Formats: sequence, structure tokens, C-alpha cells
Amino acid sequence: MISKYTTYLSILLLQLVTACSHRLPDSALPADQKVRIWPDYTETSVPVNIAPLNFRNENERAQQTIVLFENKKTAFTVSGKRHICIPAARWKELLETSEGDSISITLYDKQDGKWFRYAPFRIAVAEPVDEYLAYRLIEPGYELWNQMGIYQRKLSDFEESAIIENRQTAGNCINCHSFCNRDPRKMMFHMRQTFPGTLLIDGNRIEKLNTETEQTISALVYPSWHPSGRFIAFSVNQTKQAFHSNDRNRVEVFDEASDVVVYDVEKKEVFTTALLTSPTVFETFPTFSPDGKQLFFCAADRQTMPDRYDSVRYNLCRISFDPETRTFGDRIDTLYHAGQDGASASFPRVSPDGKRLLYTRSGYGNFSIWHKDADLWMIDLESGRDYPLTVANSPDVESYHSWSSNSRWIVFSSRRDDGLFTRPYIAYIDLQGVARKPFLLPQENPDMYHHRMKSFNIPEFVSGKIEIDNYEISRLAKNSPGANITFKAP
Amino acid sequence: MPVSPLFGDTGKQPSMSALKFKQTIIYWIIGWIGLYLILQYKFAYQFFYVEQHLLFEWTTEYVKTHLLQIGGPTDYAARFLMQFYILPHGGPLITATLIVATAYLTDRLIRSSHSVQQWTILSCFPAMVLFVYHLDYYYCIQGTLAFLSALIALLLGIRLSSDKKRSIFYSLSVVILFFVAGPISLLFAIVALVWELFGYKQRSPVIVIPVILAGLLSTWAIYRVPEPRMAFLPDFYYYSRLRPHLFFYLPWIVLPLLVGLAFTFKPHKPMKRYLLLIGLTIQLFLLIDSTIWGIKKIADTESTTAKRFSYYAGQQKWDDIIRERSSIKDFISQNLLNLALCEKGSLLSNLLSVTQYGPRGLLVEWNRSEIVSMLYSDINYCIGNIALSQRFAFEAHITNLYGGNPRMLKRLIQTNLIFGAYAVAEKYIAQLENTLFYRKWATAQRIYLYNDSLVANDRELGTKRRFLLQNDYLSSSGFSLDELKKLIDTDPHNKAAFEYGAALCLLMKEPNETRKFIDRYYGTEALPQLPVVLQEAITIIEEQDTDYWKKRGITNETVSRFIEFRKLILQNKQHQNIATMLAPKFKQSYWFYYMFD
Repeated sequence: MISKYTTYLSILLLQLVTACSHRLPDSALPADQKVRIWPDYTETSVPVNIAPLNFRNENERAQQTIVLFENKKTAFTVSGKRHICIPAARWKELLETSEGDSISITLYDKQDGKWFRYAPFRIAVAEPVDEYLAYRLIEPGYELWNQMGIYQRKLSDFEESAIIENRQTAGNCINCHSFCNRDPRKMMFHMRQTFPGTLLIDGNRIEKLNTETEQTISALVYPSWHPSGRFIAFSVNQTKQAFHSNDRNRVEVFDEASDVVVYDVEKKEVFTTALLTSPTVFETFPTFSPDGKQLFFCAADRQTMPDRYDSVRYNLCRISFDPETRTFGDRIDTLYHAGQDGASASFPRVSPDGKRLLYTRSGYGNFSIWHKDADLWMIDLESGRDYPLTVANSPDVESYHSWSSNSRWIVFSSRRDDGLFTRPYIAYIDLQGVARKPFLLPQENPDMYHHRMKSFNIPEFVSGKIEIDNYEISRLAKNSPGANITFKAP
Repeated sequence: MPVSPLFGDTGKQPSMSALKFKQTIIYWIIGWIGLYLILQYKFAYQFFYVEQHLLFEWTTEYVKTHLLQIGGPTDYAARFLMQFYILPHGGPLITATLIVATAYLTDRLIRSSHSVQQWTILSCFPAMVLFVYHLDYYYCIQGTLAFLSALIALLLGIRLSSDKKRSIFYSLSVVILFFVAGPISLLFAIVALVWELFGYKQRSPVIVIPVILAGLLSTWAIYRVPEPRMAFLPDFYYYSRLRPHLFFYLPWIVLPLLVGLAFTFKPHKPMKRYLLLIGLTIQLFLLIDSTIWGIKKIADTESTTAKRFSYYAGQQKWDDIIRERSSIKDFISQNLLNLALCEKGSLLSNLLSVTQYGPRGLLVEWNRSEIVSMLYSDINYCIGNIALSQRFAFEAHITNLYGGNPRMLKRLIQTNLIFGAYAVAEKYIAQLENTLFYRKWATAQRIYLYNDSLVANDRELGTKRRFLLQNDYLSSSGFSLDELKKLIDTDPHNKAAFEYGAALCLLMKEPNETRKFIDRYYGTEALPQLPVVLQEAITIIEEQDTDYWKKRGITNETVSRFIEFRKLILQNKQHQNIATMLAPKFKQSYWFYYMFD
């Protein structure tokens, strides 16, 4: 009996050991096609602390696949039928010994009994990225929703956990999560419909706000924290939604009115300036500069909506802000003028080093996630050069984006894979501000993206794990109407 | 000491003769057949309807999602069983089996108290309530599986002779039940406690351990379930956003009570026959009365026709809807009847041969419910408004209770194929291929992927693709007359859009809109000649303009009938029951609808 178990155990151990040390086929023929893997990690750049880039060999004829991973110091092989799941420890060692350099990956597959070797591809290994990524998972829907939640994913492995799920709050809408300087202890998000309000989290302190005031046109909407943590800029929007009858864009979301205000966390008060609340202009998507002295936002001439929904084009603007006196400058600079080339700007985000501004450009409007032509563009804030992130963009939607703490990485949502479900892509931005080929957030099983019927929404890098008491949040959300905020006239 | 075998009596309990045991089993089988027949002939469509709202996928991802949570195994088992509701007799057979098993095991438990059979009918009470809730869309049959699990655990536990063994068994069962079946572990622990308190003279303090353990586990679960009440109550087995009726809690109240009563009122000698008969009659009366009350109160019997018609629509059984039109009591069913007529190409010719209730009879207001979203998707698909059909298919698909609506998923595949959004269609096809009963259909759609010419030449998909609107516009909800006109203008062969447009004009009783509509299309491919109902409309809305009648080709027969109708109206205008008088001859005419409906 004992010997039987010993034999089984030996076989199991042998299999485990050999799982990472397959002999490469000596007689492999050179494949006449380029390697096809999904997700496409070929010639990408990845952070040194990224989880294993598990992938699937897209050659459906492959009976077996062996992949050689190597750098100047180490090498190992992984095999599978078509799915390649890389052992975490070997991967970590490989990346750590490749930082600033690259790894080489050679794929072999067996077809009709013969082995083929594909030309190797490389993956560059660059600086680390923030430890976590936060995103909302939601059906890519029209008007209704069901289950949704805000989740965090550890980027060095595959651990995903819920920050807050709407099943704990009667299925309401949870949206617009935002962090102060990517700090996991300081964040906010909104709840809509049932138990409406804005939840502000600062360490162990959770506060619910009722952000509607008589002077503002709506509750607070799109947020951006001031680096000091004392202020949050918001837009207030009268947003409507309609549906295309036959267009490659399915849904149209537009504002009938919008303004920009700033919320003072300490005084529980919103304030603004006439320049940000013009009745003839739609102002939206505010974002502070890293030094907190400037407020960027998008602004468009007011149009009759929805009749002229496709004529609304947003400029990219800037106004100075003095956090000490809570005052704004008396003039608006326009960084990107929508009239120049007939496009419209949305989601401005300044890199933490203050050198660049990343934004989304599409043909019209501001809800670029539903616009197939939406692409990422960059403005060099020193030279004023405005250019597309050509390598990062795709023929489909690229929309929401955020920067890593070290300004070297961006994460953005893209519909490039199937045209409907948004997925998080991460791209390296080099010192010249040029994007390298992005990679899809790796999953333990790459097929997960096919199984999961939800979109990754508002991807935001976070520097550590968000440890908030979601029971306390749901209790507060349900039991408190939220502290009222006041409006201070300009 | 009580002894409780699962099947039949053994041990110190006076053994039942083989004949009596067989007799008992026959009673239960008769009960099972009776219940099955009731379900099959009165509620079969409830199960077909529920099945449309469940997407059970045979994948490890699905197992992981549903198994690894509190009560996961019973949740998974419930969904597994519910997928078979699609089969004829599937729902009634599964439900009858679960309910009769619950009643049987409850009876075995009560009998194990050494009590005699006067409790048999009362023992059916928990099962009766569960039966009623099987007819409630918002109840998950996980609750019944959980109840059964608890009964089995109790029947196994009470067999153990040693106090210590029972306590250990109860405690272990509480933990296992909690993770397998959810807060039913609390009910289990309470019933076990009652059993120990009433069934044994010498009690050890350890008998409270299972209750404490169950309480602690439920408290821990507060942080992991949508509502705190769900951690302690049967609410766990009900849609979390709704509160069940008090009736729902009866099984949890009745079971411990029954156990207590069975021990307390255990007769030392057999009851007199007439007393037994009276007792059983009262129990039977209570049981039947409660069942009827429960069905009326809890089961949504008013929507039976809508659910049945919705199922027919999914199966494209249009003739069945038309045949059963007399059972219509609500607007959704009326909408589905008109859809069925349109699908058969006879909406206009039969518009008034069925009772109409105005424009809402064509399309009710969207109330965000799944059934109305499905209806909107079906009607928009019929008239060729594919974008809206897709939108409402999506709304219905994502908002249901059980993680997907396979019928609407099929529609999403079709609409994406029509639009040429092949990557999305492929994703949906792959998902539907993970099911048991829709796999074949889904795989058959793969031939259309990335093959525009095949889609264009397909009878259904190609036709709908041709109907796609040429000029895009923004729409917010259901169809309007303007939208229908755009569809007709895109392709005058879109007969469904034309019939809906004309029917809308007629049912709105808007003379100007009707005339404009007819003028716009008369003589075109969309309306080469006027159907009778439109001729009737012209004669009444343009009563004086006989030249116009001629221009629109009103037949002599229609004119003669109109003259007769008008004459009767003029002759009897003082008559109080003029509508009743005219109905036999003119009830199906537009003149009658225009004036009296």
C-alpha cells in the first residue's frame, strides 16, 4: 500500500518538476508564419512587477505547445496544449533579472506529429508599476444594469477582490471611483438611484455626502482630487442618453448642461467661478495638475441637444487655482482648440511628474467610450506638442485612462478586442513621451476575457491594497441620507 | 428514546408491517402523481417562463462562481435542476419530486418522535408553502434543496444513541449545512435543540452548542450577504431586493413547532376513530385552504397568460397565441397577440377581429421589467428596428435573476450578426454553447460569422439587414409613428413596420394621422391597395369627401356596408344600447371601434 502511494507521489513530483523543464524538440522545423498568441504580448513592454503573461497559442492545429522563456541569465520552458500558464516564481525571477533589458520568447508547436519553431519575439522589461489596479466591472449596457462593483487587482499576481459591490446596496449604481494621488486610503465614489450620495473614505473614516445643492444643476459627477487631498474638483452635469438606430456607435451620452465646481473636503462646501459655470458653455471633466495650481477641464459651446449632439466639440482648457485662497485665475488658456481639426477632447489627465497631459480625442461629444474613433493623445506641457499615441491606439475605442505614480505607465480602457467589452490595456511611456505597444492586463486563464461578460470601467492605478470596510460602507449608505454640502457663490 | 429511520421504521419503534409500509408508499406516490398533474395542467408555463431566465453554463468558471460561496452547492444544484424546466414535464416533475420528498421526510421526522399518524397532514405544511413558492418567480428552489438537506441531516442525527455523538453530529452538520445550503443551518440547529429538549428527559448543556454555532456562522455571514436579514432567515432563498410575504416564513416556524407538538401531545393509547377522523379533516381543511390562499396571494396567477404567451413568442408559436386570445387579461398579452398577428402577416386584416384596447394594446410603456424588455425586443425585431431590438434584448438579458436570458442571448447573436458585429456575436455564441439545450442552435450560427454574403442571403438575417435604417437617428424608447415611417421608407417591403404603423394610426383614432399615413403610402409598394380596415377608416374620417373615397379605391362593398351602418346609427341614435344592437354585424368594423370601443 505504502509503495503504491510512494509511486503516485513520485510521478506527481516528477510531473511538477518537468512541467517547467521540457526538452525542446531537436527536429523542429522553422514555421513560415508569425507566432499568433492571445493576448498579443509580442514586442510589448511590461513592468518588472507584472504577473505572469499567460497566453494561448492561437494556432488551432497545435496538438502541443512548448515555450522557451529566456534572458541573459536564466531560461525555462513551459508546455501545454495551447494554453501556456507560466509558474509565478520562475516568471518573477526572469523579470527581475531582465529589468531594463528584455526577455526572449520562442514558441514551438506540434502539428500533425511535426514540431515547428516560430521566430522568437521579445518583451521589454521596464520600471515597476503601482501595486494595484482598481476598476469597475459592469455590463456594457444601455440603460439598465444588474450586478456591478468596484474591484482591485494586484498587478503582480492574479488576486482580484471587491472594494464594494452593489449587491450590498440594493443593486444601486456605483460609479466614478477616484483616488487622491493613487493613495489606497483616500478615495471616493458615488452611489446613484437607491441610497444616492457620495462616499468619501479617508483611512478608517467613511463619510456620506448629499451633494445636491440648489445652486448647482446636479449632484457632483466626474471627480478629480487636488493633490493636497483637501479639494476635489467635480463636474455637475445634466446628462442624457439616447440610442443610435443604425450606427457603429450604439449609444450616445451627452450633456444638456454642465459646469465645473470644486468641493472643499474640510468645509463641506462647493465653490466655483463664473469662468467655469458659463451658461453658454458646457464645462466638464476637471482635473488638477500635480502641483495643485492649475485646473484642466474640457469646454464646448452650448448646443441645442439632442438635435446637434454631433456638433458639440470640446476644447481642452486650463485655469489657475490657488488652494490657499480658494480662488481661480481670471482667464482660461486653451491647450487644444477643437475648431482646429474638428475633433473633441475628453478625460484630461496630467502625469504625476507634471510633464505631459494625456487625453482622449474623438469626433464629437464627451462620452468617448461609445465612440469608435476615440483615441489617446498626448500634450507635452513644456513644448505644447500635441500628438497621438499611435502605437497604443487601435481602430476601435480607446477612452478612459490614468497614470502610474512614476509617470512611466498608463492604463486605459479599450474595446479593440471585440468592439463591445472594454478591457484594461497598459502601455509604457518612455522619456520622450512616446507610448510603446500596450499589453492586456494578464489573467491566470487568458480565456477569462472570453467568459467574463463585463466591461472593465475606469481603470485607476493604486499604490497599495485598498482595505476598507465594505460592510460599514453599505450600512452607512443605507442608513444615512448623507451630510448636506453647501454652495459658496463666486 | 426516539429512533428515526429515513425509510420505514426499525429499532424500538413498533415496526410497520410490510403491507402497511407499501400502503404508505403508495399514498405518497399517489400524492406525487397528483401534484405533478396539478403542476402540469395548471402551471406548466410558469416553469417554461422561469427557464427563459436562467443561463446555466457547463463550465468550470460557472462552477467556481456559484459553488464557492455560502450555500453555493445548493445554489448550483438548484440552477442545474432549473435548466431542465425547458423540457416538457421537466418543471412539474422536478417540483413534484422535491415537494413530495420534503413532505415525506418531514413526516418521517415527526413520526420518529414516536407520535402516531395524526400529524401526517400537518407535516405537509412546510412542503405546501414551498410548493406555493415554487410558483413565485422570485423564489429560488435552492430554498427547497436546503430544507431537504436539513431534514436529511436531522433524520440522520436523531438516530444516534449517544448524547455526545449527536452533539458532535449536529455541530458538524451545522457547519456543513451552512456552507452547502446557507442559513438553513440555523433552522436545523433550532429543530435539533427542540428535539433534544422535548425528546429526552436528561439533557446535557452541550445541546445548545449547535444553535450557538449556527448563530455565530450567521453573524459572520452578515458581512457577506446582500442584506443582514438574509444571514438568519429564509430570505436568503428569495430575491434580495424584495421582502417575501410572511407566509414564506411558515416552514421555519412550523417545523420546530411540529416537533414540539408531536412530543408534547404524544397519545399513550390510540385515539378514538372519530376523533382521529375529525383531527385529520381539520388538518386537511387547513392544508387545502392555505394552499389555495397561498396560490392566490403568492403565485402571480394574473400574469399566467403573459408568461404563457411570452414562452410561445420565444418558440414562435404564433398560432397558439392567436388561438388562446380569449384568455387575455393584460396589455402584455394583448401586445403579444398583435405581434403574433403581425408575424402571421394579418395584423391589419385581423386587427378588429380581436378585442383591441387602444395604442397601448400594440405596445405598453416600458417599465424596465424583464418581461416588457423582452416584449420590446420581440416587437422591434419583427418591425425591423434591429438597434432597438438589440437594446431591449440586452436590457432583458442583464436584468434577470439567474444570470442571463438565453432567449434574449439568441436575439443578441442575431442582431449582432445582422449588424455585422461578428466579434461580439462570436462571444455570445461561445457563451450560449456552454449551455445544454441551446448549444446546437448556437453552434449552427457560427457559419454566419465573418461571412457577409451568407448573412445577406439568409432568409431571416438577410431580410432584417435590408430593413436596417439608412439614415441614423437617436431614439430613446419604443416605436413612434415617425420611427415606423422611417422603417417603411427604408424598405417598402417591410410589411410588419407598415402594419404596425397603420394599426397605430387606427387605434389612436387620429383622423389626420391616419389620412396622412394613407396618403403617404397609397399607391406605393408599401400600400398598393387599401385593406378593408383602412377603407373603413377612410369612409368614417372623410365621411363627406366621396371623391377622396374614389381616389383611394374604396370598394362598393365597403361603401354599401358603411351606408348601412350610418343608416342604423341615424335611425337608432336615441337607443341606449345601440352598440349592443350593432355589434353582431359591425363589431369587427373600424366604424364600430371608432365610435364605441
